[in-house]
Amino acid sequence: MLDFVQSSFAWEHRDAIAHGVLVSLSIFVPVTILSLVLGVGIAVLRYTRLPFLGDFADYYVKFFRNVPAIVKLFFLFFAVNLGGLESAIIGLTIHHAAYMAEVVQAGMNSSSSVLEQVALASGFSRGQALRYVVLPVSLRLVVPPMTTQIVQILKNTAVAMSITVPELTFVLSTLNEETFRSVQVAVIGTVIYASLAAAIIGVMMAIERRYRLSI
Amino acid sequence: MTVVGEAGSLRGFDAGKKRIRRLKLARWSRWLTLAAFVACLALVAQWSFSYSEMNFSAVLRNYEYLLRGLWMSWLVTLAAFAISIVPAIVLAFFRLSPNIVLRGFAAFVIEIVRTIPELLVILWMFFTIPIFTGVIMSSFVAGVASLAVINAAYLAEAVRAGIMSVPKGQYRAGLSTGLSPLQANIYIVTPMAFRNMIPEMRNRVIYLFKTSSLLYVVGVVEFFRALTIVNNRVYAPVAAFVIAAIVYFICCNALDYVGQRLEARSQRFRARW
Repeated sequence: MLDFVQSSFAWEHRDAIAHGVLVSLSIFVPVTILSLVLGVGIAVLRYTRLPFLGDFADYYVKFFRNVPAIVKLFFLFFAVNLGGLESAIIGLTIHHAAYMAEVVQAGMNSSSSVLEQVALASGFSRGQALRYVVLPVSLRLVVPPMTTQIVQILKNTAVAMSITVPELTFVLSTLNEETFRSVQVAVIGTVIYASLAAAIIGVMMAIERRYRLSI
Repeated sequence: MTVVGEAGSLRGFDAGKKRIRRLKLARWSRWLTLAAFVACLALVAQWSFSYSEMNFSAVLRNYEYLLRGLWMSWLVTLAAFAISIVPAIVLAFFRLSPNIVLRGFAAFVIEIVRTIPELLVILWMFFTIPIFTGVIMSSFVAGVASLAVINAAYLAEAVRAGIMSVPKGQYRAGLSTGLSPLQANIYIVTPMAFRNMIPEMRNRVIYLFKTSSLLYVVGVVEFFRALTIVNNRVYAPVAAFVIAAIVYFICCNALDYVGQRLEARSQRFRARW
């Protein structure tokens, strides 16, 4: 069994593949954290309906949702002249923050009106109602769609390949070009991405269970 | 009742005046904010400014080439969407079927395609599938096929949700009027499910249009690829990518608008129960 594993194609190129996974994760993790924070911020701004900032957040979501991620990455890489990894992280954060904002916004819309009125009636100020009632409830409600978005971030890290970031897809397509063992490469890629996504989904389901609302 | 009504209307009247004033203000501030937003984007573009890079006319001089690319983007998107509809419906019915083999197969395909990056699907379609099948595809065919596979997986989930939103009673009523299960699914469940799916289909078309920009990896000259080719020749990256952003924004919004109209139209024929 060990022999079989050690003679396999994946084992032969384990260093390159592991490095690719590492680079992919080093894009994925900061983008996920930053876009969550930014997305919640934007959703709160839209929720407050402040005359200037609320509309601004609105335009942010409208514009950045409708432009492909690759355009942002190319802009940052070729026009602003950032490094590959930086432009991947910044570009994908800008892209996914808009989606996260949309998801969080949907949760706030579905839960907020009654909850907020109850909170206001029991003497909270609007800010307090948002902070202690509306936001905690709606964040719990949106865990499933948020999971989809986080998997989407993982998938979009592959786009960084096109600005020469040596992440997993880049490594795999290089391997493919060097060895022409396309089937093995395809299987390795599929297995790695699918298991990473499965891990993400598992973690998010645990979070969902841990913070489930008991109404 | 009258007391409540009077008090309510009185309060409503005052609030109405205030609201009208606020709405007027809001309309102005929306325009101002739009201007500010565009100014911010322009500032970012300015930040990366140098004389050669901001050369819009150098890029736009190649408009014929760019338009051909844009046409290719639309063609690839719409072709892939049209091709994927039937497989999506089949996959959705498989996933809902009582047969565990069909259900497992559909679930496997859908989940795998949904969890691996689009770029990988495109690359595998171009490089790996020919090894299995011996058929060598042109980049256009491989591009359309991979987009169709991606879209079929996502659309299958939408179709499944749509089918599940049609009450079981409709299907049973169909059976009791003498239709076979297949007929009941085709003539009764699917048309009703279809109307519930339109919002999600709208999202999927827009997503597909944006994903078509990834087809450059196999050499399909769609809009983004055409722009980068032009950019490589004239070297005006700021101008090129600003144009890309604007064109994609306009196209996606156009698709969104069409989808909205379709949705509004289909509401008139909505099944009621």
